[in-house]
Amino acid sequence: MPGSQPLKDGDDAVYDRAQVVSIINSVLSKVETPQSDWERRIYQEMQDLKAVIEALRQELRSVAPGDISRDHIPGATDELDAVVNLTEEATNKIMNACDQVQNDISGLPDDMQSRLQEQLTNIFEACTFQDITGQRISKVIAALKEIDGKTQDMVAVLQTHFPESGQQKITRPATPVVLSDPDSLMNGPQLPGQGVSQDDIDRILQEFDKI
Amino acid sequence: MAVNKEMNVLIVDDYKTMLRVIRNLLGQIGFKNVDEANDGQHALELMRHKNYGLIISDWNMEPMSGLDLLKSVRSQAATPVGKTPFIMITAENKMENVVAAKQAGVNNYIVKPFSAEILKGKMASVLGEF
Repeated sequence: MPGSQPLKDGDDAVYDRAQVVSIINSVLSKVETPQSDWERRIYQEMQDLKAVIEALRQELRSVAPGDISRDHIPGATDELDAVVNLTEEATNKIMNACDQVQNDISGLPDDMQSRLQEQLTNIFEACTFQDITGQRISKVIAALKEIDGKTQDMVAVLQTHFPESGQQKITRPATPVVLSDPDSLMNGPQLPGQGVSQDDIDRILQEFDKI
Repeated sequence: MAVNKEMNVLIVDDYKTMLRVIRNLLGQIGFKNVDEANDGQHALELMRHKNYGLIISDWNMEPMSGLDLLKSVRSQAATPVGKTPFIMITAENKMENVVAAKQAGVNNYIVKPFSAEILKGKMASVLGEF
């Protein structure tokens, strides 16, 4: 991030942001009507520098790191939990279908039974993916919780220097990580209990048909 | 001596889908008497009431891991339970895991994902050809 390093003079004295802005304002006030080209250039450079520092200050205020702990991390872990649950459901459906086929092939000729059984075994073997992905996702959830902890530490530090950043919710002006945007029609699948069920959808459609 | 396929087999895993996969694969190679436990503690409870000819366990489980279960089984050295063949089936594939399991007395170790062929081969190496 440009300008994030504290400014130092030759004696290693450190100036904070307010002091730097104050110095710039002082210089600008003394060169209010620049005469020569070099004065105009310096004046412009100083104006630019002031704008950069102000923008940086705004950016730090608007980071709203509290959002990460409050919204983003829980949202992400809920989504990952939903992935584990849905893959488990799907895996069970696949295995139910295999069990059914296994029962149904008992009357078939031996060679055909054997070929089909081999393929069913392959399907069962492939179903171990659910356990593996579940464990991997658990690792990701643990990593997210670790990030959450670090973020909370960062919030504590920022609240010391920018008290408004933790209390006053300021949305980042840049595009944030949005897990669910109620204003958009492209939000992906909803978590259980948040969306409407197929039955609800059917009922809504029937109501429309009556109009 | 021929392997008795009527033996009781205990499978231990905290993922229901894995229990089902292992049960199915065991069924295909002729082992139908299969009980399930979802962690080490549950497995120990089942072992108090029934004799098992083989334990097949995952490693990564809460509150009692597969390694702790193995150690607990092997600690009963004076009883038949302490000598029960034990196969670990796990995604933990670091060398130190394998070494720790071996030191605790595991009979074989299968890394997930695995095939029916591998399961059969490892069981044969523990129980004898069948």
